[in-house]
Amino acid sequence: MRSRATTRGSFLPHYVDAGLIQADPFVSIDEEGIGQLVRLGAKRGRATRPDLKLGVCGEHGGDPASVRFFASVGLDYVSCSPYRVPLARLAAAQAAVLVAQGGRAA
Amino acid sequence: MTARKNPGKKGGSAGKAGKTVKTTARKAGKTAKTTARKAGKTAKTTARKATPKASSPAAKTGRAKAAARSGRKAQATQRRVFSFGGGKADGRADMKAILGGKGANLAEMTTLGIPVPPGFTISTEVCAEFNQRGGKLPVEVKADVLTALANVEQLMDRRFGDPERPLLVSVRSGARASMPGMMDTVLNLGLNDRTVRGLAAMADDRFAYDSYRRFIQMYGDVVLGVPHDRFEHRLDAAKETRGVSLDTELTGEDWRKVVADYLAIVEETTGRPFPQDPQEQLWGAVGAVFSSWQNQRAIAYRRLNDIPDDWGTAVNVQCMVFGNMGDDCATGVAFTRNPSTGERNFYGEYLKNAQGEDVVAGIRTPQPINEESRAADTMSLPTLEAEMPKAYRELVRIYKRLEKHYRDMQDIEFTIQNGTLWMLQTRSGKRTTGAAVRIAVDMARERLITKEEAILRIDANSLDQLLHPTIDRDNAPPVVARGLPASPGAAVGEVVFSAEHAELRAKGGAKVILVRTETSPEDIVGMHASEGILTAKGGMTSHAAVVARGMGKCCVAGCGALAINYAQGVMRIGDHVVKEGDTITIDGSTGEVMLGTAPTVVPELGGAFSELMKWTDKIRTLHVRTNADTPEDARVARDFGAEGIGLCRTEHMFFEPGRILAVREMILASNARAREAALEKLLPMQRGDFEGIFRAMDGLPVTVRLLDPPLHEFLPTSDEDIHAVAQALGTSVGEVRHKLESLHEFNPMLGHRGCRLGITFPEIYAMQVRAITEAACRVAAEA
Repeated sequence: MRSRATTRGSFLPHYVDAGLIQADPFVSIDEEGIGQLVRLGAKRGRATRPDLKLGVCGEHGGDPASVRFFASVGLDYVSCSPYRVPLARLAAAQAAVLVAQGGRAA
Repeated sequence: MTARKNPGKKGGSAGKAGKTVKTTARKAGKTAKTTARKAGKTAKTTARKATPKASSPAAKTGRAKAAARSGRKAQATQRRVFSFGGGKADGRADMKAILGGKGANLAEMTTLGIPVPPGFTISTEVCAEFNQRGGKLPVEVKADVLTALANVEQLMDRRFGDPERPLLVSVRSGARASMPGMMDTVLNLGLNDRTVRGLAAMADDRFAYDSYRRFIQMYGDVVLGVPHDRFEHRLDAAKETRGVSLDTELTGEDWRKVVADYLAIVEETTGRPFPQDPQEQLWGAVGAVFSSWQNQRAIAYRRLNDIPDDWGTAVNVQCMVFGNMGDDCATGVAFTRNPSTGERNFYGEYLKNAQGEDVVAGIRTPQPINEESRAADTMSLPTLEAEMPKAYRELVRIYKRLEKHYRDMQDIEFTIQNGTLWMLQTRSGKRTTGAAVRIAVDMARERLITKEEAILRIDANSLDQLLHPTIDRDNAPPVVARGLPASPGAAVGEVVFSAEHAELRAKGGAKVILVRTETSPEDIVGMHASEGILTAKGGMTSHAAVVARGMGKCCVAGCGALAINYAQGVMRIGDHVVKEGDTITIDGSTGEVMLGTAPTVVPELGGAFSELMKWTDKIRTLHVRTNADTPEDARVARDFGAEGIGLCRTEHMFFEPGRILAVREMILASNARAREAALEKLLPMQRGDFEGIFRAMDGLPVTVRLLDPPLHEFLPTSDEDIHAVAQALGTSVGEVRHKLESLHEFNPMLGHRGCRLGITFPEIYAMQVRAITEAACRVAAEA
């Protein structure tokens, strides 16, 4: 936790300003990087055990863009801080609406 | 506030009400651009190749449409100047990418048959071209502008530069996303020493010369770079000479003298006489507006609102209509629903005998348009409904039409010239998150939009704002002043009197309240850095109010009791003197100002919110749980609809003041027996925590993570703490220090923690599992 805090304070804001990354990956999941590992984990895990229950907890669980991504890779739940629960419920519903409309969820 | 887990995201939640609107606007813009590009591409293809090869059906349709659009065929899609007026328009609402929001909506309103002063829009594409060519307009664009201008002349039966019936125009910016006040505007363009006499003949000298001096001042400032102050000083001098305090008290003759002096100021500053040729004026103003896309405050605003630099602004040139020609004239701003609460009430303000800029600038106190818009404890001024019933009824008819057409709450600007109503703008209105939720839910119930659309319209991030604290009335300090409740929420912070100080102090970690007589677009970065904004002047649609609502910041505006002395860094509120750095509390929901810190409480969520949440639960497939380590967190999360706990960390339980000593004893114990003795003390505490959490979750799943601390986080560092542990363990301080050294790790994040700790000290997990099981049994027995 401490190392994350340091990273965020020291160089990540500069990376975002300089356009090297779109968003702080500790706030919004890096879909191309860690996101692929999540996707892979879900796929392989379910290949072995189809009823595997998968969830994500932490800051990403309360970030709308990340929630949309997690919905699209088929996780069962996200878990976030209490005050972000309504936000996650809304983001999850938005993901479902977008999927139903044929758009890309994440 | 303390319970919120993301203090670092404070900035992130700002501007969200605005964002909801923007997202929609942007999406529309994107679609428009794609279409436009496709059409453009197809058209080019057609032009180049006489017989295009096989292409997709979509491209075929596009081509057919492009060709069919007008006799000019392919050229139609490359149009760069778009006329509107007399019920016909070249543009549409979905062309925001090239016409900007303002231009696209003016075109749409015109086609809807709504009274819009005729004019034309120079596309955003020209902006890029203009700035790349070092500030030169392409010759073809100039020709198109003159053609479009001739069309306006014909529709209005006036001519540009005509000494008898002069056509006057406004020149305004209009980007794809709303950027209120960030770019430049010139009004009354077309006035010169000759046409001013024609204008006087149509109205009177006072009006005509006041209009001319406003034009010289704006044009001088925006186009010629003559400092604004120079004009203001002259105007103040004129008022002093006459012994009056209001602009309106000056006569035609006074204004004529002011105009002569203004012209002299311009010549003196620029070394050239003020341009008398209306066409030269027009090219100057168009260029200045295009250039203003690159000014510092516009760039800063784009950064804060994620607006791409390459979008550019369009320029709207439109026939002037006057709200300041007499007492049967007015100008105003309104929202089709209340932008603060979302209530389904037509809501707005107007000023009689004034120009539009006067309302937004917050210089005069505006009147409510109807009873619903009257603020509880403000003015007893007459309403537009009472003063100009005919124009008001027309306005009501139009707002209803617009809301139905756009299927969203609109922010509209209007002017009444000699009793005739003209619409100058419509756009999706910025609103608070609370209002956004209420409006989306109401509109779905009214069947104006679907439930799915209602869900998509709310920016999820903005929900944070709904959970903003309000002031605990029972324990708050007394109210020392009252202003307008301009943007809801409560804020506590140190007073700062400038945007720069706000930014500086906030960077240093301070919570600040920006206090200004009124705010202006240069202040936005400082406003963004502040917890809340308090102004002495201005109404509900003043710059401070509009921007604060967009940012989701609490704002109290128009608090007349404030006397601010910027130079000394103090303000007086009645008998109280408040210095920069003193703490105050403001309540943007009631308009109250308090000295010192008022305690805050988390608000009740309204009916619309629970309704929306119910809809989301029916639609979503992903479950939402919470991270909760205490019964209190678990209860809050349940109330917010959590369906279980996804992560219950146990190390936080160990950190509590009464427990940390026992935890340190456990870690530093030299043998298993000493460790077990320490664990024995922790067991009932842990069991109690779990009981509370399980009770709060009432049978919902709870995922517990057994102790997983980077060990160093638990170790004592201060002499005092080390001493206490030594005493508890019955060993020496030296012994404890030695043990601490041996536990030191280079990379604690990957060190002796998690399952590694479980393997080396199994008794810790044994205690935890026992606490969990016993707690579960007890809670199950209760049920």
